[in-house]
Amino acid sequence: MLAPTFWSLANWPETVARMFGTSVVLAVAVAQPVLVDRIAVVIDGQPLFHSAIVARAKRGVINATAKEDPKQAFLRARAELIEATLIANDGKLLSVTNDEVELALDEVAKSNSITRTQLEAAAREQGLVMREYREMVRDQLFEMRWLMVRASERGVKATDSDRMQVYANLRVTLLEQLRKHAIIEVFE
Amino acid sequence: MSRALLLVCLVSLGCATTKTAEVKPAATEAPLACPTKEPTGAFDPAFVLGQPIVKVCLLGAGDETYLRLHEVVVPREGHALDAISVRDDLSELYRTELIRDARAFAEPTKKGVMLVYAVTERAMVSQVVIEGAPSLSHELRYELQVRSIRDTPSQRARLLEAASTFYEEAGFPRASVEFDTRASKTGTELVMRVTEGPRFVVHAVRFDGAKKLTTKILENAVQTRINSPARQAFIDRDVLLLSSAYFDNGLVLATVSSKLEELPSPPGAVDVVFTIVEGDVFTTGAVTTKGLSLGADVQKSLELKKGSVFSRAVIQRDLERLKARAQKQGLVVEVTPLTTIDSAKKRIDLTYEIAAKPE
Repeated sequence: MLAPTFWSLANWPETVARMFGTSVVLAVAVAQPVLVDRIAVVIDGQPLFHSAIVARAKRGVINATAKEDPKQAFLRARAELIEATLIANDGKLLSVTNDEVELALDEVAKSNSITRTQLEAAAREQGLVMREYREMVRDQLFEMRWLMVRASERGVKATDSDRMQVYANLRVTLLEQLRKHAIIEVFE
Repeated sequence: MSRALLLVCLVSLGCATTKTAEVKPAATEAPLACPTKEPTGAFDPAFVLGQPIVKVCLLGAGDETYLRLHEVVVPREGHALDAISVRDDLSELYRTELIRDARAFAEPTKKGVMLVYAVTERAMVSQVVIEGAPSLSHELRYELQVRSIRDTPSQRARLLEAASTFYEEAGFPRASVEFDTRASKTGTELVMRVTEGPRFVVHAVRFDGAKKLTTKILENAVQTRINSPARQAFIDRDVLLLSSAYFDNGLVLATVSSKLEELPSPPGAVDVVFTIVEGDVFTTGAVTTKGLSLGADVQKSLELKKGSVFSRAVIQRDLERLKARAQKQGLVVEVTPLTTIDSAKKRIDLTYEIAAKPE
């Protein structure tokens, strides 16, 4: 016996898919206009694209242990990208070399007692291609370098035991200041 | 049952349409027209990327703006739709500052996709109006209240920069500016809403933690003066000047930070407080040179001697001496001072690395 929804017109693409296969559904789906991309945020005249936020949101969902609501994931990714842009703009004179990224990857592998090949396989298993993983590591190194430079400029002192907390607090303070001086337009 | 029939009809109709399109000669097809309204569609580019672009459209711009925007959109007809090119176009459209937002849609057609850019134009404002700025000078007010401009980020940044500089110099460190637009009889006005905050005037300059250098030396080092507006730019520079004074007196580990302390009265009176952690006095250890030789007696010519208080200013003078000495020998050199700190003995060894300057 067929479920009543099988005949519902509201679900007819799925219905057709069951009858004729998915290729028909694809043909139906592309008959509608599609949003290819849009300017989602502008930070000090620098546009951030919807596609970049969606890609970041997907990356976050892969990393997250709990399942994240797609809308929440999008908002989180948008906030993260805004912060990353503010930091990148503030640390324009800083850079991270490819060698430093490779060294950091070696360290990650070493601290997890696995080889680089196993690390790359683990990243792939989490849905990350190596290029994306490298970019993630590069972003993290860049942010750390930026924080260290700013901490040094401000004479911020930290011990091994409170370093993470001191830097986390400094990050919040610095980002508050950067936001205050930046012109950020968000388009819903 | 009737719904099932309708479903079959829809599917059949789709097939029939496709079939008709295949046999019809292309010449008889009507030219594609751009949509008159902005399309709606979910973000799902995977379905359309790689398909040939048959037409590029631009929606949402007035006549004059349209012509200028049209110049920056690359004619992509005949090329495959790709995400990077679309982003490039959106960036270029935005860079004109004529629009505040842009979206790209792909509308499927029989032979590919129609690429539609929908833009939202930036408004023209009839005048900039300044509110809540009693301390603003008449000259600057006149300068800022411009007429007939487009409300762009760079215009706002220019207005903000001018106002911020004025207020910073006048001693209003907490002044803030918010922008808004409102309709008026003459059109849309751009409102600069200023909150001035208190005017800070320096009541006293304090050097908390200073013991090894006298107040006189420190007062001479800073630019902040009593009864002048408390300017953050000056105070930040003073921190560097104080650090420099300490470095020149062997206190190479000294740290200096600053803060403003508001007094209960009179209103706006502040103490500028420099908090100093001095550390120990370091003396000069061995002074050597390496690299290019400038003569056996080069060290005798140097001002910084072993056992003297380490001083960055003296090193700077010695650098100039070494360069001048090289020049007399017909050489152009780069001199890099390299230091090794011995924290236990409070001593700093110094080596001048001398190298020929590349042309």
